[in-house]
Amino acid sequence: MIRNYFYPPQARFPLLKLDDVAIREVLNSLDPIDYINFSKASKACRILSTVKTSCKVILIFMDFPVFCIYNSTNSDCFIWTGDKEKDGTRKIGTWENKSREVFYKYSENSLNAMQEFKELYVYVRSLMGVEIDYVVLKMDKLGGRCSEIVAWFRSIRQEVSDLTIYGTNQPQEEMQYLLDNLKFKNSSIICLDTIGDLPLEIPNKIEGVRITYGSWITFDYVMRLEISRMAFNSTYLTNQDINMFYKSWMKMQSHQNLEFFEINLMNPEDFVAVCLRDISYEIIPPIPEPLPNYTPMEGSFEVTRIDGLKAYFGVYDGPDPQGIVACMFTWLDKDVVEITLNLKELN
Amino acid sequence: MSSTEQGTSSAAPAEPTTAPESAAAPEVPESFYYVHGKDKVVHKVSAGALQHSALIHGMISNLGYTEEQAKANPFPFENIDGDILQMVVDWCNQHKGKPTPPEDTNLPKQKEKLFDLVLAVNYLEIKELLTYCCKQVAMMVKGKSPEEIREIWMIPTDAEDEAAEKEAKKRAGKEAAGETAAAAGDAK
Repeated sequence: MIRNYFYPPQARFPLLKLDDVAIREVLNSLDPIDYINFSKASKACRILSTVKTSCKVILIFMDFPVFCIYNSTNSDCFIWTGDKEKDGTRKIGTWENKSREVFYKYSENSLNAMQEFKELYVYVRSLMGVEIDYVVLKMDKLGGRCSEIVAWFRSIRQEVSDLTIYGTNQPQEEMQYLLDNLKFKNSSIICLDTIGDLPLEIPNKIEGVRITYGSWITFDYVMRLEISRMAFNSTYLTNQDINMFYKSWMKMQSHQNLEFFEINLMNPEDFVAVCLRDISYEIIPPIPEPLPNYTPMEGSFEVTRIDGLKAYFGVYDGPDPQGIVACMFTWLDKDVVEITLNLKELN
Repeated sequence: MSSTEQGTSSAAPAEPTTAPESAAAPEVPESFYYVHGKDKVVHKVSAGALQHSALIHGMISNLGYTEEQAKANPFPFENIDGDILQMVVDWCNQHKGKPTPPEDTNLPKQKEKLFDLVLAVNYLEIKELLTYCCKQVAMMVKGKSPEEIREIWMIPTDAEDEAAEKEAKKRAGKEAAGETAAAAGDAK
């Protein structure tokens, strides 16, 4: 049983005797978890709960699923666990710079957990407007249940804003199946080591893509993608390839809407000599961290496109598994690039 | 009827510090109004403090009272306990002309009074204070199960709701039958 450590147990309050305006104000002040629990207190509460405004959810699929729900003020996460001792416990966790209340739910196995997860989603959706902010799939821990997840997404008929896929040594067909069948509108982050060297077909309409294990990525593939934020790691692209890419951008022959481009460097020491060959640049002080956890290794370079748009280039030591990367970005004041996510706290 | 001098502004008007022409502008004297609750104790409150209450502000705007008229005609809030009205007046005075902080530590902490306070604040339409009070109410059930929420917020169970509904229907039926019988009697 979850115990309240915030308010004395003797406090009692006839909520339903208040005026509707005040009841609504109280309900709007509740944390998402408490709101859901209130809706289960009685049929009358269920009716009262169905007029709440919208919320956003983050759905994480791994061996045991995670369901995060948040509104403008509060954020709660349900984490299913196979550890019976954790059942019903809660703690305050910080994830993506937000304080979130984490609530553990025990389930005998991942199949039951998934069933409860789906039921919770349906229940929450019956209470309030739900927008799926992003979905994380950890393929290593899914045990081949991708098709089940895709089928579920089809059944709920909801678009996903952002999609992140993690995994190592995963069949490329399964990855492509996910990309083809999950509808997402903004960015896709793929941190995946696939078996097979065929290029993945990523829709150009998305805002950003990160492929962490991109051994199959070729120069032609990068040139074909018209996504505004791209990050590729573990590729075999040479510094000459990168130089051609930069020059193509400078001459506005490709990637005109590019905001961010990150690529691993096989020979970082030749970055200036080769990657910036025949490109006019100005040396500027190192731009600290275009992304969280990136350390600038030397000075930065300001390059101007033929239409006057400036871009900033630099070599960075990125967090694992990125390694040493060249970053190019066309802004200086954005706080965080959304295509980086740190999900370590939920691992 | 007793009277207290709640909210009387004792501070001297601020000295002008800028251009002489602004110094020449006459200070508009602060106007005061009077309210009383169920206990008939009259509270003198400045118009600035009363601006927090949309209800009273609307009444003031419509009446256009002089100081004497206002004193002779305190706004009666017979549905609000004297101590609750005192809390509300104190809060309005403390926050006169100031935006309310998200966490207001100046609010009274008596939890047993919270229900009456919410009722009063809602009636008087004091938006910021209502929001703060409702956050306090929401905190009561933080981390509670549905059963615990039902207990703390005194929510009837489904069975109790159904029984109450049946009872209400029965009563309505009896009343309707009584009215019909009375009407038939009148007709005779």
